[in-house]
Amino acid sequence: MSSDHQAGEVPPLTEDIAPGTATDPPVGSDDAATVTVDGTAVDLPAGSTLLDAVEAVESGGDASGGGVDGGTAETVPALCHYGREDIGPRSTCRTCMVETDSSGLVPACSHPAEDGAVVRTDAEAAIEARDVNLDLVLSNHNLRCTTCGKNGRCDLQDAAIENDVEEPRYGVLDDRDAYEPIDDSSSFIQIDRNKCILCNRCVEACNDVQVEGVLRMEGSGADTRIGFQNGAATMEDSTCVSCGHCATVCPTGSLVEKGIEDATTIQIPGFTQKNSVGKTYERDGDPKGPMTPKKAAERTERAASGETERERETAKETASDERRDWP
Amino acid sequence: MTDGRGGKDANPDANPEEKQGVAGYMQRAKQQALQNVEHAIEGTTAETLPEGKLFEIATAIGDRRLEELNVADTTCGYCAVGCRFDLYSDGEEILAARPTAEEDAPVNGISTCVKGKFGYDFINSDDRLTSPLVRDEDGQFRTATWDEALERVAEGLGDIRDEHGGEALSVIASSKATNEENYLMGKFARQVLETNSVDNCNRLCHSSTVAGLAKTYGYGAASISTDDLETADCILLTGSNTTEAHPVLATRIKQNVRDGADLLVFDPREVQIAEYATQYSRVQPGYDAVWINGITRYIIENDLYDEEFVDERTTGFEDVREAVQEFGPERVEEVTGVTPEEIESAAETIADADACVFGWTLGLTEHSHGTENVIAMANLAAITGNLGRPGTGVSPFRGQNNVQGGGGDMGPLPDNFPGYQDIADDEIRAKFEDAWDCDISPEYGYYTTQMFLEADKGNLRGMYIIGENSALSEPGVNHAEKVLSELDFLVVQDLFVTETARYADVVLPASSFVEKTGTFTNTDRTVQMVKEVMPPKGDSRPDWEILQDLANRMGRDWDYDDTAEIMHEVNSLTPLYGGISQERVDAEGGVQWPCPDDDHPGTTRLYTDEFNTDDGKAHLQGIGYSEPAETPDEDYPFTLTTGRVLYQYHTGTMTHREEGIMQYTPSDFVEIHPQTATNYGIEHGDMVEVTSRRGQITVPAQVTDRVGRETVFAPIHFAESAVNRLTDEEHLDPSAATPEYKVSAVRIAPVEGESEPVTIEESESGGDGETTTGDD
Repeated sequence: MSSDHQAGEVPPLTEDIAPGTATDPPVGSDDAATVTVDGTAVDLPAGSTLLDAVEAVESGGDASGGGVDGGTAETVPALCHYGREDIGPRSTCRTCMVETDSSGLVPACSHPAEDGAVVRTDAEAAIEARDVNLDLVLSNHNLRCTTCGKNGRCDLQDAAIENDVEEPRYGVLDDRDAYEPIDDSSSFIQIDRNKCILCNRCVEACNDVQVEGVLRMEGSGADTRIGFQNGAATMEDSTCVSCGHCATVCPTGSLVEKGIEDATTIQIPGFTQKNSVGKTYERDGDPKGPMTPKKAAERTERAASGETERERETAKETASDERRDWP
Repeated sequence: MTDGRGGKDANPDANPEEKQGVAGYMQRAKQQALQNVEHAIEGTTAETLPEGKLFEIATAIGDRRLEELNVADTTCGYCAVGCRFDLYSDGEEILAARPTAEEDAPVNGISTCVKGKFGYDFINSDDRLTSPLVRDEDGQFRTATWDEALERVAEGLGDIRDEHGGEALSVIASSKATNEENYLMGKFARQVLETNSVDNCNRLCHSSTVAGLAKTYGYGAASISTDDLETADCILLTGSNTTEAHPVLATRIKQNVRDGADLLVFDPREVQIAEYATQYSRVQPGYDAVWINGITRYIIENDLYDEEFVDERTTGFEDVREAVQEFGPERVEEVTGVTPEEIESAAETIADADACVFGWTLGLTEHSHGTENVIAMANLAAITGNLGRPGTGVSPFRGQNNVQGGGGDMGPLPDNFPGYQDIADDEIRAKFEDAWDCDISPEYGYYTTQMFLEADKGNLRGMYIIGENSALSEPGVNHAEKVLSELDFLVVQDLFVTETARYADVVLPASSFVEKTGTFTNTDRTVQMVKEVMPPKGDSRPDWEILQDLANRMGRDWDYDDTAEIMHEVNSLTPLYGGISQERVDAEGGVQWPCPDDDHPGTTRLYTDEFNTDDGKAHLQGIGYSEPAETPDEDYPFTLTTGRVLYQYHTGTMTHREEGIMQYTPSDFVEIHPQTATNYGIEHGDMVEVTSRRGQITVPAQVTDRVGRETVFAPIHFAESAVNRLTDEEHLDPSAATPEYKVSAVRIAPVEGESEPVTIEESESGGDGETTTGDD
């Protein structure tokens, strides 16, 4: 009847879950600062970044309540930035580049707001950088707004329209053979990796906010994709508890709540996100539960049956390799 | 997610039902053809249409379709965390829950759990009640007009009142309905039915918390705000399966642990939050006051208590010191299984911490001595000085979305008016008699659990049950069902024909929380807006409109135009809610009580300066040894404890109607320790009979070392194998009348020859056999 855990012997589960940016050093300023963006000055509290300054000016008020007029000269998309619940900054999309007098061209989302900094959103280099980076994001995005679950509510779409994207330099991902199947195996969340812009918000929401340890980014280079920390192939075999944080924060139609995925699409039969990709991973039909599994057991075993011992070992190795990678 | 819903579904192949044979072939061919059309057009546009143009077209379509949707920011109707989000509706169903503005989500931010985010199929479920039902002479239900149904109710309840007096009637109010509606339920009971026997489901869970904390600190509610879970450097949790029952609160706790806080979990089961803990201790169910007193004793004996706080802000310390003497390390280990090292470690951690939050859910309260358990916890929090400062306090995690407000603050209680004003107090009673123009007896009415015992004796003849599934939630449902079937008159007001409604004479269709406007109060005392997202389904009506109509047919003259008006009446009679109007709650995003007037900002944390007692100090009370009413013996050697699982919610009325949820938790089960399973020859998935002195259920076994060797666990969510057939309805907490759900003596036995997965079709309750067992 005594406890299975002696104090101090087994570390809490949080140490087993690869964090997002929660354990990264903070990027905000140490002190309060006054920053000038495109000629308009704003006062910012401690812990602010240049992006906070840009957003304060864009919205026509400053972050600490003083009156300011006019917006910024140019819009700054900042796609991978979320701004709530301490998600990010990841600085992967590079669509927030601005010109500063002291440090040149920097990503505004992760640059601290130093007192007296002068920022220009309309410097030529900044405009070009943001433009090219937005096109790069689009180049790997399966652009099919009329069938997409996020149509009309999509951060990428909004950014592209605000930046007057007509024909992206590098095209979009429309090679049908290169499409990855939609993961439709979860009862609640649909994953379309072809629309993922690798902003990492979902991974952070899952690991830093929900602290559940389900999602991760795996692979590298062109193969980088959303994956699962327990090595599962599909969402239903992951340790997902369907909390919905990932779908909540996803800027595109990559992670979409089922139920609303056809709410703003073009209303022609057959024009669905699943059809447009053409391939899906469906539910495997195995009943789950009914008991709630122990988390420790879930994280070291793959739930899918039929997996070879070798695959299981490799998955464990990959997982434990990952564990060694962060501080 | 059914097919063939006609023109409404623009994408009929979004979720096809797999068909077989020729139909299957045709279905697949059709899907392929549509896919081909899509691909052809997509290919053409990719070659001819610049992306800029595509954006133009797509956003035009998107904007137009968005206009057809109704979006409103509202509060979740599942649990008491009180998450806020925007709900999207097309007028027929809820499509999604999306985050709302930061200032409008004070508790959850962007966080949600599976139920609040995805659990809305029940709103437009096929068996949603859309018109009133009355029972015919031949005993069958038939639909009726509101006129007929309400007249029947007025007659049925009125007759009993006139012949036997209001004491023969009782009302069970709904902790899922809004504050305004619950206020009316209490008023209806006292003014119209002339009875003080009005109560609600808080009786079944945290009534001992309310009694215990009110006795010691003065308010029966959580003293913290949820922010304190993030800023505490130590959290003690007991009897709380937080990641499954209060997932969004668990996220705050887990974040805090990741950032270095200590988490001490004491629970008979190694629930998921225990796996996140820095210290987990398994305890024998039913003896919580023992280990809590053990920790208190260690802290006092080693001079680790907060002397200043004790001297200045408490009374009764010496009583506590004396009472905890008998709970030395050996005694604690003998009774609860917690080792001396664990007690020491926990005590030192709590004493070292700058700010400690003490949290609990029903594992502490649902006992025949639950109030004592809570007082023991209150003692511990007080002697360590962990009250009134940021990051400190007591936090009972309330259950239903509005059990704090509707089930407590709004006074549908047999002993209190709104705002916990005692009905026995002559001055207060006179105030309400004046406001409501009626006579009110000073005698306390029956508590919910007592109602079912009194009905047996013939003292209770009629019941009006609103939004409560007593046939499943009461302890000892075999007994409860018998009581319900023998009442002279039973009215049930709900969204569905629930297991309880099956016994009713009249069933009134009520509207869900997305179909009306009002307020809920969550577990940290925050009052938040509930906004109508879609019109009431069919002929269903919001509870307040039904009550108003009924009251007027029974001789009164209620004429509220809207719920905001009801709230103004509440403001005028309830000091706790004096300044909490709907206008203010809407404007500010949420207001925490106590808030006596419009200028008061609301109260983030209780007890910053003084306690709500006559001398302003906490009244500590020594708590001695107590044990469960029924302990294991030779015939019934196991302890059964019951509780929740993540995907399901309470009696399953909302979650059973969600296909996705039923895929994750399709059936009931019983958790059995591997050693126990081996001893009985039970394997994972085998069907097992679990029997107590009250009844028996048959459920699949789940072999896991989460439970102890002599403990088994079954969830509460499945009517087909209602675990409350096994629990006891007689031995209630003496102060709070809380049932002992957490300890029942049971025996287990494998059902021979059925170790393959089978469909559960429990003939006991005529279940609908939709669920299947787990895998092998």
